[in-house]
Amino acid sequence: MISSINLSKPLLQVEALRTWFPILRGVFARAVGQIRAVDGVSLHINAGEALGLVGESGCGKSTLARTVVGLEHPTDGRIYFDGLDLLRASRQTMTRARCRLQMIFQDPYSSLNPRLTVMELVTEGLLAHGLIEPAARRDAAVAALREVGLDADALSRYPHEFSGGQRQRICIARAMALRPALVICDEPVSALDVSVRAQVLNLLNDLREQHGLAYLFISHDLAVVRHMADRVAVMYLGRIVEEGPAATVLDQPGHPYTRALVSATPVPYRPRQNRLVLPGDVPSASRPPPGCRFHPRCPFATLACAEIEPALERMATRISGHRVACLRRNELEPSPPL
Amino acid sequence: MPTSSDIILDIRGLSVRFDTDDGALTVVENVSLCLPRGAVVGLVGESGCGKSVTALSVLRLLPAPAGRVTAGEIWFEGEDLLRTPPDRLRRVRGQRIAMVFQEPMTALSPLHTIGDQLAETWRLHRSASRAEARTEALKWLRRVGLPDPEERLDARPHQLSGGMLQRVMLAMAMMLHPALLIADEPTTALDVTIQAQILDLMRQMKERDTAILLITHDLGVIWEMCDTVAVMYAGRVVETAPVNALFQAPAHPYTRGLLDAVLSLGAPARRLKDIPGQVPTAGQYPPGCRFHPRCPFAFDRCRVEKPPLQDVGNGQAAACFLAGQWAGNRSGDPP
Ligand SMILES: Nc1ncnc2c1ncn2[C@@H]1O[C@H](COP(=O)(O)OP(=O)(O)OP(=O)(O)O)[C@@H](O)[C@H]1O
Ligand SMILES: Nc1ncnc2c1ncn2[C@@H]1O[C@H](COP(=O)(O)OP(=O)(O)OP(=O)(O)O)[C@@H](O)[C@H]1O
Ligand SMILES: [Mg+2]
Ligand SMILES: [Mg+2]
Repeated sequence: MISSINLSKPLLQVEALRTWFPILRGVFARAVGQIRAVDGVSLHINAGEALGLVGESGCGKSTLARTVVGLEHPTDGRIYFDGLDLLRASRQTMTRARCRLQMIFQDPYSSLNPRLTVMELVTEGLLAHGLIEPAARRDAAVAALREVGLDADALSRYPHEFSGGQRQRICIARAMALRPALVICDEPVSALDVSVRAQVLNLLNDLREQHGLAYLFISHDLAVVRHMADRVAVMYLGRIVEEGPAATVLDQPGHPYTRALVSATPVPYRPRQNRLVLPGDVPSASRPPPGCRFHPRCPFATLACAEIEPALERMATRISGHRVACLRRNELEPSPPL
Repeated sequence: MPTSSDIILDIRGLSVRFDTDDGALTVVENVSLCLPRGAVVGLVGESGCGKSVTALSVLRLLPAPAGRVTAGEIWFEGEDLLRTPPDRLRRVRGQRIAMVFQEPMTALSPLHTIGDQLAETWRLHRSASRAEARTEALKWLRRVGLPDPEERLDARPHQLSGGMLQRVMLAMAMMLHPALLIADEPTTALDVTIQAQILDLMRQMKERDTAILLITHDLGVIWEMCDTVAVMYAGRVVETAPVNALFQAPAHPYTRGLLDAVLSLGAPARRLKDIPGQVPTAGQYPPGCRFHPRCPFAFDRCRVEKPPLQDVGNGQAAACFLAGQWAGNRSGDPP
């Protein structure tokens, strides 16, 4: 009975998470304000599920990811992983959880220690968690590299001897070696060329299938997220403004911001009709606009939008799991099909 | 030799060599490109294929003395830029050719305000009083949609975001109404909603008859913006074609590979087709066709002989021995 209850629980559950950074000024480093990088985010990921997180530069995607894996300290909120309360767990429990929760970064250059060999890099975590004996290091490294399509002759080489795509494979091997249940991929292919990007995305999908992995897949590229994710969450200025099945969010976006993103994304073969060009820039995360944070750039904003902060709510279309934070979500014409 | 009056820029057989620790490397080889008036021509290809070096050669901005043009001609409005005297070249560069780069910060002076830099550009090329030039600067900052243009006039570059600076660069480019804009990855560092604003401004320049050489590795941007496209691989042009032909019937296996790896916003294919292997680095280019080690259709001849660009009709040409058979067929099967 107990196990069936556990099964129905999400693998990761984030509740009302806030991560603010103080803006420090002067010799006494007085906080003169707060950057509200993540400002009240709730989301969940089920075992084996891939959730895509999109949004523009500075909206808080990386901060959210870094908070979940413990690299930033949250200002407020809860994070449950594998049934554990990560913010209140003991150091020991945390260490064990950490192993099942891995992260891959955008920049395969700076996330690999240049002084370690590939063998050391790939098995570092396994040894630290006591999952293998030092003598088994070589065999473990060979197996981990094979999973990502690299040969054993990579073992004694250093990161700088590899191309960007190969370095990203090394990062993936390093994360996968620990047999995680959830891998957070923060812009894993943004620095890669088109042909290599396809190779890495295929690899990530193969590994997910083989090991029943869950992904939190972060990208500012809607097409990449569409390819990788079952569900998508759209972030704007520290908040989630829309979430739902990938096909629904990208084909029938409910939030004006998502519509603008979809419209502005250049995609080959799509009719070159008039694009919805948003005016202005993303406002500062230290002074988010009142009401709906998107209202100053929104072509559909009314007076109410400047006053009332909309919550994530279901659409009248009643597509399961599709929720949108917009007062006018059910009044707007459906956006034209792609 | 002057060229036909409708052609603004005509690059012929350009080759560029760099002196490096590994010896002299030819990083751009025999590149030819033609830009008609008011046309947007895309230059696309993966990192290191020679796009920026080609653009810098047109502007004669290759880092000296390491980089130099070893062959070719670059005709612009009736003169060969490679043989234009330096003082005249500077005038052409400021007035007739404008440029925007991925890093706008490097093109602006950190010491002067945005307004002063715009006004100075105006005064350098048009006779105007300081006050008139400042009014002109403000007008253009407003035209490019910079938020709070009056305040930004007195801001220095480090106070603006990358997207704002790129709009300042475009304001600077647009105000002189040049015949040619060279844009090297102008939106690569920007968000899509800001990219959309920049692309819109470039469309306005095109409408005013400015020809644009648009360098990008983003095939979506190429599709949206370009009239014709040149695809580069390992220092050579492997295909040139009108944009629709390129996307519907690519005539080079590399172009085909790139298009197969493109992601759409529609229902995803379970697996992406990828190009095996990786782009070779300069100095390690294979003999024959440089794409042959990654090409599923390579045969003996490709390994030894360099395929020339062959015309396949309708303005499309590809450097592939099988180009004739490829053209007009978008299905995945070999000819
Ligand atoms: N350590 C930090 N100290 C202060 N501010 C920070 C810190 N990390 C991030 N920020 C700020 O928090 C906000 C969100 O940043 P974050 O890196 O999470 O955005 P992002 O969505 O990942 O953007 P990108 O797409 O550019 O990676 C930004 O305004 C950023 O400047
Ligand atoms: N200053 C330099 N010294 C030596 N080699 C150089 C120099 N600049 C460029 N190269 C080489 O010339 C080749 C072409 O470089 P280029 O910058 O034109 O590529 P690109 O197509 O613009 O790539 P990217 O998409 O990364 O901007 C590369 O192999 C590069 O290493
Ligand atoms: Mg980030
Ligand atoms: Mg370049």
